[in-house]
Amino acid sequence: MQRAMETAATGMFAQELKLDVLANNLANVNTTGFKRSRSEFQDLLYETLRSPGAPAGDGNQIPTGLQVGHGTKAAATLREFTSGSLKQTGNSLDFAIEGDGFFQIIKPSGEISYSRDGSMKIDSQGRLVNLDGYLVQPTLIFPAGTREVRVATDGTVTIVQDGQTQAVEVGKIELAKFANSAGLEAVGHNLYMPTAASGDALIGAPGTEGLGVVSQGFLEMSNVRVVEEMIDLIATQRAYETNSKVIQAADEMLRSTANIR
Amino acid sequence: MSDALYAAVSGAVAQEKALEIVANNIANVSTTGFKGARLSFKEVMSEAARGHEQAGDKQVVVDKVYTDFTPGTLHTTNNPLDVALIGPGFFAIETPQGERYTRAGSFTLAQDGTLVTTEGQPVVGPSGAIRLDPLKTAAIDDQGRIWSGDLQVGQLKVVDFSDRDALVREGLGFWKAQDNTAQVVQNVQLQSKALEQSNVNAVTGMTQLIWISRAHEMFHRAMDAVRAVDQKTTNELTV
Repeated sequence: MQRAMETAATGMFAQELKLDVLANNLANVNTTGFKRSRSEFQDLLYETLRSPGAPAGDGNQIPTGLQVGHGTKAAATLREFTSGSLKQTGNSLDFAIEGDGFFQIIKPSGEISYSRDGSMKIDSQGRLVNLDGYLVQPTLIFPAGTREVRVATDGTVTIVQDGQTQAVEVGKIELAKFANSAGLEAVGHNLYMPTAASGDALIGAPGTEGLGVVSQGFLEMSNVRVVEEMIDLIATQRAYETNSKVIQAADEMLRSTANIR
Repeated sequence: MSDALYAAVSGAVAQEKALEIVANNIANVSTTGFKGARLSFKEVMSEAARGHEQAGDKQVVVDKVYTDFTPGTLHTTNNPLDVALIGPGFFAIETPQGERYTRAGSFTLAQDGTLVTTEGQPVVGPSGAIRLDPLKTAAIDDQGRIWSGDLQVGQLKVVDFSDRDALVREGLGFWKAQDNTAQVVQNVQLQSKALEQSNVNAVTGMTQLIWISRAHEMFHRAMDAVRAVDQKTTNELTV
C-alpha cells in the first residue's frame, strides 16, 4: 500500500513537470523564433518477486514473472525545431530563416550563441545587432548615410547610400547548423548554446549545405500551437487527477484494514 | 469458520498487491513506449488441506503479472531522430549490463556522433554502435535506415521474441531477454519523426482502480460477515 502511494506520487511529480514545460510553451506563444519543448519520461526500476523462467518444480518453468514497478521519472526535455509560420513585417532589418539554420549572435562574454530570432537593429556604430544589442557574426557595418538595405536569399547584404543609385555589397549573413539541434541548450533571450549532444556548429552561406534561405522583411513566429498545448494540458490534468485517485484508493484500503479488530 | 476468514483476508491482500501494479501503470501514462501490466489471480490450497478436498480452505493470490504489448498511439514530434515502431519488435540498446530492448525510440547524438538514447547508451545496429558525421544532417527513415547527409551509415537493429512473456522489465524503458532468444526483424516498419505513447490511459487506469477498491471493500464485508457469525455462535453457546 505504501508502495502504491509512493508510485502515484512519482506520477504526480511527472505531471507537474509536464505542466511546467507546457506553461512555458504557452507563455511564449508570441515569442519570435521560439521553439516549443516537450518532456520525456521513463519507468523506474522494478522489483522482481518471481522471475520468468524460474523453475516451478517437476521440471516446469514459470512462464510469466511477477514484477512490481515503482513509478516514473523525468528523462529529458527536448526542443522541437519545426518551423514557425512567417509573418511579414516590412521592416528591412527583420529576417526569417526558411529551413534549417541559426543566426550567430556574439554574447557579451565573447561566446557565440545561436538564434532563430531575426529581428535585428543597427547600433550607434552602424553595426548589425540583435534586439539586446549583441553583435551578429560575421560583423556587418553599415556606413553613415545608408539609405536602403537589401538582403538576398543567399545572405548577401547590399546597401544604397544617400545620393547614390548603385548598390554596394557590404558583407554576407552566414548561418550555422547542428547535426542534432534538439541537443542545443536554451539560455534565454531566444539564444541557444551548443552542447556535447548538439555537436559543433557547421557554418555556411544560406541556401548551401542544407541550410535554409534568409527572407528579408519577415519574422519567424513561435512554433507553439495553442490547440496542441491545450490538449496536452487537459491530458496532463486528468493524469494528475488519476494519480491522486490512486493515493485516495490506497488510503481508503488502509483505513478499512485499520478498522479490523 | 477460520477458513472463510483466511480466504477473505487473502483476497484483500491480493487486491493490495494489484493496487501497486495499477499504480505503476497510472504513474506511467506519459512514459514513451511504456507497456501496461495486467494481472491475474488464482486460488491456492494451503499445504495442510492438500489431498483433503476441503472446499473452504482456499486462498487467493496474485498469480501472474503479464505485459500488455498492444501498441500505444503515435505522437508526431518532427524530431528527425525520433522513431516509433509500427507493429511488434524492440530497439536493441547497448548498456553496461549487456544488450537491452526498448520500445522508446527517442534518440539523440553523443558528442562523437554516436546514436544514443536520452540516457546516453548507444543504439545498436546489426554490427554494433552507429556513428554519424556530427557535421551532417542526421535522419532515420521509415525502414530504420540511418542517414548522415546523403550517406546511409547504418540500420537500426529491431528484434522480436517468440515468447514475450519471458522478458523481464528492468525499468528506464528496458526489457531484458533470456539468453539468445532475440530474433532480428527483417522488414522493419517504423514511423519516423514520431514517438509511441504509453499504452496506458487515464480511463483504463481509473477502471482498474475502481475494480480494486470495490473488490477490497467486498473482502472486508466478507470478513465482517464471518465475524458476525462467530459472534452469534459464541452468544448462543454461552446461554
